[in-house]
Amino acid sequence: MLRLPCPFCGERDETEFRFRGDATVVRPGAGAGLDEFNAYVYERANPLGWHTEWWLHAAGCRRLLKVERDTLTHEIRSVTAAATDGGH
Amino acid sequence: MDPVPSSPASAATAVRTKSGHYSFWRLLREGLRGQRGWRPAWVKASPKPRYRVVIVGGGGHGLSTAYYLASHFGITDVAVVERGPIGLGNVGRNTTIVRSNYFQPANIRFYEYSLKLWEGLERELNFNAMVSQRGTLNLFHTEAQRDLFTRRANQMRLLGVDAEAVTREGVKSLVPLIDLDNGRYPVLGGFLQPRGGTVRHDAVAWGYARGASERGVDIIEHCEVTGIRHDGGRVAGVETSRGFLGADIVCLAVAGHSSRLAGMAGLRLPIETHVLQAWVTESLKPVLDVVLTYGAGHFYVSQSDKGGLVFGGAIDGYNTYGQRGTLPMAEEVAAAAVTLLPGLARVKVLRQWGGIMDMSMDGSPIISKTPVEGLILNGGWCYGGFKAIPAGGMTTAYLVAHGSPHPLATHLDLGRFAAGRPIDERGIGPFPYAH
Amino acid sequence: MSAPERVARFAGVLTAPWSAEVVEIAALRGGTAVLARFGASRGEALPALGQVSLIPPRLILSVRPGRWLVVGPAEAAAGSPAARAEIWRQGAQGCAAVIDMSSAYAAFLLGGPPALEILARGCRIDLHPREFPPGSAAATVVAQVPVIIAALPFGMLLLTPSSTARHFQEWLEATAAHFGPPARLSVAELFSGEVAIPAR
Ligand SMILES: Cc1cc2nc3c(=O)[nH]c(=O)nc-3n(C[C@H](O)[C@H](O)[C@H](O)COP(=O)(O)OP(=O)(O)OC[C@H]3O[C@@H](n4cnc5c(N)ncnc54)[C@H](O)[C@@H]3O)c2cc1C
Ligand SMILES: [Zn+2]
Repeated sequence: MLRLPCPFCGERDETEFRFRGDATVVRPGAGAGLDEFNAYVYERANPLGWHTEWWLHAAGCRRLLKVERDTLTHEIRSVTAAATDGGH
Repeated sequence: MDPVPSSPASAATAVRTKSGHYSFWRLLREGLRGQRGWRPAWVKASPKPRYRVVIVGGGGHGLSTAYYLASHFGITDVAVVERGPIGLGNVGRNTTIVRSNYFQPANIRFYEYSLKLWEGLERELNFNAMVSQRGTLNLFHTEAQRDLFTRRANQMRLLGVDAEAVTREGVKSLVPLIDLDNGRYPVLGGFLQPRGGTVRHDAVAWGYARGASERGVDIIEHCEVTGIRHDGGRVAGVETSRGFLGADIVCLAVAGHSSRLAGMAGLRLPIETHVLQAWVTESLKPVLDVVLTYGAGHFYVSQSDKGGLVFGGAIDGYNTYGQRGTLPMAEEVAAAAVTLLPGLARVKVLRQWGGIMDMSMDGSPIISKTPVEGLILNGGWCYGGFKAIPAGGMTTAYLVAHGSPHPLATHLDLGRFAAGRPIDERGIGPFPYAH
Repeated sequence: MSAPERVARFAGVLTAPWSAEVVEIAALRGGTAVLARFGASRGEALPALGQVSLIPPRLILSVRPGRWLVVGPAEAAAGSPAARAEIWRQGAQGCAAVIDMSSAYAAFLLGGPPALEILARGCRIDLHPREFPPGSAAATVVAQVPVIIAALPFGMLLLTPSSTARHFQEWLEATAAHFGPPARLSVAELFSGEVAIPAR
């Protein structure tokens, strides 16, 4: 059982969240070519170790969170709000 | 089309240390001599400085690729490099289901080829892999689901693959324990692939290892690949915990570690690594003689020959290299199990484990050349790669030997993602959560 | 038995789904300060995230950043929820979305000594007063459905989406039944202000 410390709600069980994948991929600009879009849509670093990822606190504050988690030990290093303006 | 290849070219290949032919007479003889005549099924080889082909990963696909290279393509200068003992990866962790009831014609042909190879495998390997074609029964719970299954079954039958519709009553007689009117999703019927079933997973690894080893393949255990040497876009060999191994061709068959190994060659793959769990209960008298899958939740189950109910569900749902799994999926799977088979509510679970899956972005595998010349990838198996071990090994060996894809595996190339033709097996787009 | 006595002895589910009036105030970006000033001017100060404030006969809680729920008994005087929403909408001066959510939520009240133990059977967050003292509010999952919990001096207010209300009520009643027959009390009595309920 993962326990994610939500900056808004406090520490909660993973069952309250939805995993939304790698948070490091960035959508290329409109003029980008096929390779860039292929990389963005499909290719992932998929690291063993620290991974920056999105989690949605679906059953809590409903905020999208950026989480740094070790994919082997499941240690969580940081959880921050995705919205830089605090979301409102 | 008859995709089964011609008989092994084993006569042409040198046979070294023999573990001897396994037979009833051998069993009897050894029984009478105090079991002293058995020899190890495969040789624990030490690395040589150079091989024609180095296969990374001593799981099902690595070992079967090595076996077919030696037995069908006459290539025996091959090493299988495994960081631990062979067979402790997913090949020894899966729930052993084999079937070919896929949807896309190219996938049906590929997995049907595999099923045909399973049907002849024990004879070919002279190894008891306990291939048991007890049938796989997929339940449906809505009319839309029935339409979808019907379409899939028709597709299969058009390609000469067995598929049968089963009525509600038929389901009940196949699985007397079932609660047809369970909770929210009553069972409306099912689809049966009579030739589907289970295979003893460890035996698959051991049988292929024995066959490969006897034909001259070096199976090098406790040898971790730590780097891939490549220059000018061409692979040169692998760095390992036991030194450098030069190679003309390096083939990756490392399942959940595919991204890491490809990363050593500077590649990023359309793959994420996720954990899939499984459970087994205490032994019961025979209660279930098909493989059963629930169509309205995450649960599938079969009964092992020892009597334990082997069951599983979906992946935990977030990237992980931890081969363990967490409790929420256990709860979900148990809830589905008790919904469908309420009579089993009090059966005790004996063991739980997890394996890490190479989840590809379209849910289908990759058997392909890569941008690095001489580097071949066998991966992206998601949680369905056990059934594919014979075909995966054969088609990968074909690619290694001929330099071009096997006719049954052309659709599994890595280039399909960039080319905009991912395989629409489930029609859900680029999520690494499908199988 | 008087209402306060009944509440003090109460050991189970307090009311049937309480037809509550719920108005959501969702600040637009940068709108929090305007809302806070308006709330204060009405004597309805907006609580911080994770808190509930009781302003009889209503309460205001916040479990999502920049969002508040104003909850009160539907039978309370002072007009319809739509009218109350309109008051806030005017006061927000375009800095917030104000929505009447009364038909979106069902409310329950749970009090008495076993309340925490009842909830603990379906809720994964720690509701012990040390961690979740009166005045706390949280959005979480109870009995597999979304529930907003607010700790009040006389018990717990529980809000669940209308679509999961019946399931939640059945779960609540079945779980509470282990602790003896429930006493029931009308919410009007509870909010009448006459009830000075002892803290847990
Ligand atoms: C719980 C569970 C249930 C499953 N159920 C089914 C099922 O019912 N039917 C089905 O068809 N499929 C099933 N699967 C999927 C199937 O097991 C896999 O897709 C398949 O086994 C993967 O191929 P493999 O056997 O080659 O992998 P593995 O056995 O995992 O082999 C990969 C090997 O590579 C080695 N390796 C990794 N990194 C290195 C390195 N750096 N150097 C050297 N060696 C390395 C590993 O140690 C490992 O032995 C299941 C999987 C799991 C976990
Ligand atoms: Zn939160």
